[in-house]
Amino acid sequence: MSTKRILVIDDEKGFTAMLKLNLESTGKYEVLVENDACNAVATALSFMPHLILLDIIMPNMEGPDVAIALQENPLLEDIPVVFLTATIRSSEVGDQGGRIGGHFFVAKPSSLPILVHSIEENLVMLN
Amino acid sequence: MEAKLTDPLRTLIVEDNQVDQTMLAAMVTEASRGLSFVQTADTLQGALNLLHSYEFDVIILDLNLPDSQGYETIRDINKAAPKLAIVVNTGSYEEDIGIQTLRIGAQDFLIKGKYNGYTLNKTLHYAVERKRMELELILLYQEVKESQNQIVQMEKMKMVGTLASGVAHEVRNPLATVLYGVNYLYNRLESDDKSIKNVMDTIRESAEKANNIITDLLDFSHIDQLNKTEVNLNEIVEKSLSLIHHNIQEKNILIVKELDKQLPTVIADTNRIVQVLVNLLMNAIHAMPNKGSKIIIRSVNKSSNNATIIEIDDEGQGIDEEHINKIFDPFFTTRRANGGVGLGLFVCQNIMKLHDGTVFLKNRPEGGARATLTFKTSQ
Repeated sequence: MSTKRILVIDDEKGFTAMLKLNLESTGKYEVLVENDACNAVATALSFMPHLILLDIIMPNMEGPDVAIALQENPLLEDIPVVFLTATIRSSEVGDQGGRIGGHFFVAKPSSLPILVHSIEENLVMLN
Repeated sequence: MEAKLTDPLRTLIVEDNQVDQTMLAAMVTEASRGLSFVQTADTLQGALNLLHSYEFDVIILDLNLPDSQGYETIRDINKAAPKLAIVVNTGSYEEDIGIQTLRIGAQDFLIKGKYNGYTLNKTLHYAVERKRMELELILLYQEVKESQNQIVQMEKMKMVGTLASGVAHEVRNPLATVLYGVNYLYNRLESDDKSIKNVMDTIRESAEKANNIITDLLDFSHIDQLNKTEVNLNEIVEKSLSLIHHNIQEKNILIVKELDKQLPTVIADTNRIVQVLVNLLMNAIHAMPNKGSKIIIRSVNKSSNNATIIEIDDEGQGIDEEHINKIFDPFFTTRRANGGVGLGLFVCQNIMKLHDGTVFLKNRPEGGARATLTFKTSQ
């Protein structure tokens, strides 16, 4: 099975570094980190990820605006976006993550198995 | 009610001079056409005994008694009967004494030999009215103070809520970094060195504890957003129990359900009531250190009161008497060392208030504590 490309867009450098290490250690993913939301579309176009993990509260550009920008690009519109955010509690979306208004949310911090489960679920939906 | 000068007053005369005492009694009786209830005493102790046995509207008080002198006499009477109007009856007039008696708690003062039946009667009635107004003002002041406290408390909580949302985001990011970092290192650890694993476990547990605290604060800041529907509380009990299934199993706790199958529905926010029940059940579990203890959860339809009740009985150590008035206070906890913030019961109480319901906790005579939730049954 080939690895899937995951793009992480989040301004927290420490967190994204740890996330990349953890996800790549599963052997399932190749992870690219973008810490500046303003570069999200350009980075996505060059990396062409299978899935994007997107923070919500970021300086310069907020997550929902990034999601709209990604969706407006015909080359990127079908890429599933999972919001990974500290602004919600797992009690609001369930321990396994869940949908709010059509978007998939995972509370930060969630354990690695929960995050992987959410990623896999969204990748399956894509196929 | 309109008060008249002829209304009889229950009057206590405290005067050690027998002539003065008899004269005063006669004047009071005459002014009320014999209808007043009049008692006399010639010592402070005698007066206190009468105050203990009877209710009076007004006391005519000589300040120099065989067993009490001066202002202390007023203080002692005021303490024994705080609702009683006091008219001081002084032997000689000194202006500052008169004013001082009012400051200490008397309503008026008379100078012996300088009044007649009419002025005495008028003074007594005016004193009673002044005392009544004073008591009303005190009550009003207390009400204002109470509502002011409530407003301050609400503002404080609003501030904490806003702060909590902001802080939660900022703190959860570094926490997530710590948790993912530890997770990565843990999986990469090749050594069997237990001390390293212990250190990592401790780091992970601490970060998780901090995350729980933040989650509690967030729960609290979202407290007023309710999504009410018609619900069956038995179903909410089942849902709550399933959420803490793991904790129940871990401590091998026996759950006894006594659920009334005919329970009427109530209007409530399911998630919020689940939150309340989980909180109370977790408190019960924490209160029972011994494995194999029992929790009884009961639903009762009190149709006569239009109420539906949920009770949770545990076999724990109960609530310390000194804590019983504080358990619903925000930030009060007996489990701070274990990561308790002290918002659990406070949040529960607020959620119940938003449902026009109540939550009570008390110790059971047979041991352990009982939590009682009361809901209004839907019409």
